[in-house]
Amino acid sequence: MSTEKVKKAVKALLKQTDNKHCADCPIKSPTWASINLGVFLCLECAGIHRNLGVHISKVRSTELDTWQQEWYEVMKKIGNKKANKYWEAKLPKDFSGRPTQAEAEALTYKLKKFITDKYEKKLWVPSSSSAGGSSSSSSGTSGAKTKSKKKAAKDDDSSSSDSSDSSSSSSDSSDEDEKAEQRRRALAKKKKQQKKKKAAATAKPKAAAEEELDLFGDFDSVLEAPTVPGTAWRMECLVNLVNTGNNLNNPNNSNSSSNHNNSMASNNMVNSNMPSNNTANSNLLTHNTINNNNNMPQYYQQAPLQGQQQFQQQQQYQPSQQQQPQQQYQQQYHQQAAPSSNGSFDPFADFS
Amino acid sequence: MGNLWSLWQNFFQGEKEVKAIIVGLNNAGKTTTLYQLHLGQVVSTQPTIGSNVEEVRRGNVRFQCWDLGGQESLRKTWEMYFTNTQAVLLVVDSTERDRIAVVKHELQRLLAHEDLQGAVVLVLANKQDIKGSMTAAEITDALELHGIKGRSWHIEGCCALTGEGLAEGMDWVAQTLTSSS
Repeated sequence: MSTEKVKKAVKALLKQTDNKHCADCPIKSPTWASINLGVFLCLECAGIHRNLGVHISKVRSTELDTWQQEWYEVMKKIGNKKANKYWEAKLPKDFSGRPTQAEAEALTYKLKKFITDKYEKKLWVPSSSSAGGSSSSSSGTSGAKTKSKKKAAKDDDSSSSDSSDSSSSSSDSSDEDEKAEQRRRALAKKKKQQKKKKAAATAKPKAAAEEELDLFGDFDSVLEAPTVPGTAWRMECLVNLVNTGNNLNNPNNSNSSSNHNNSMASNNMVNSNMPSNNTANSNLLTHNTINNNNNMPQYYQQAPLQGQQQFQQQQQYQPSQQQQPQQQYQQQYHQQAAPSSNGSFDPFADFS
Repeated sequence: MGNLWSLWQNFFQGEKEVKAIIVGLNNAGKTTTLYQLHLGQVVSTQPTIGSNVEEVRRGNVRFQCWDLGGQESLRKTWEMYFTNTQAVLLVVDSTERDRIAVVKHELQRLLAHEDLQGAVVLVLANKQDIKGSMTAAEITDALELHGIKGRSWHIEGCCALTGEGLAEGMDWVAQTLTSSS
């Protein structure tokens, strides 16, 4: 077959119903393909596949690359349906890790909206320095907000009691004073991060600019990007999938208990990856802001408003909470630990 | 002291501006290289369709780096960026032994182009962190770099994820271009 014919044949493959959606997310009309896994992908997922390395997935464009016949044969032989039958064979039916179409589009849209709101429209800068933005408070999340405020107040209490403790004992040694200082800083940083995450999860304007004066006090935490599950989150899903796929390959894996262990291991791996996921997210931010003129996915421009509305209606879907079990744990831990901090028990021992 | 020296240099020689293009096959690590040079960190990338451009400073030289898409049909559009290019950064995926012949072909096409006759060539042997990758020496042989006549070239093993080797490579380019002018 000539290259032209192969290209046409690939186009024909793409028109099959099985291949009309990306193999990993529900985005329509994929234009990329993994020529060794035999799946068709969207641009975003293709980027993630490339990051996996060529030993796992070799990515080619159906439009920008000259197709060789052997690639076509692989694609024809496998395709999205067969591939997913294998790679997702043991995927639970109630699996919630894969984004729906609305979510996949809304996430990208949401991220873009958040960034433009934040930097271009300056919606949330202090009122004294804001050009056009007003810091309006939204009523929708007031419940959650009062909770977080209460929690913050509690944290404040605990930190102040802690500081008074340390100041009373500061005559003993200056070391402890320093430690207390460090703890306070760590705590302040943590609080900010938690708030940021919450803000990112709700993506709504903050009520009051409590942090106004702190803006330059703790510079690196200010610069930290809010956690919006985007590429990193999809990456996680993919890594999970690939891991479980490898487990299927594993001949030692005949009994279910070892399989369970393996899946636990993969879960643990994902959890331990959390900080790096966060950095990946911040990277995503920088990349998009720099790069959105030429690498812009199509659905950026389409601006799926409907998708976003659907997404906001879906209350049960809260990826940032799913993603950060440790965070939740630490919140609980703090709330429990705060009242007893006047005694010998030191809730901040972990952070010093 | 280094600052003083560069100020001194700036005063007498002025800052040099260099147009550089980053080329290579798809998934070689061009975009990662560009942003590692520009930001000093790894960004999550998607296949480049079109180009990215960033400014990179190395001592006395300001590089305007064009990162061009490496997919096959995009390679034909590279030559639109060739005018006034003084440095060609060829990023090679050192793990892809089966496509090194394609790289060689592309390199020969670049070298033959009339707009690039004055350009220096830096070959970045990327992905050196991966086991079993070709060494810089192997790539030199495979690309027949020793056959290049009438222009400066240099090969540097590197890892765009960590940034290892990139600074050395850019320093070579900066040095070569400043000493030749």
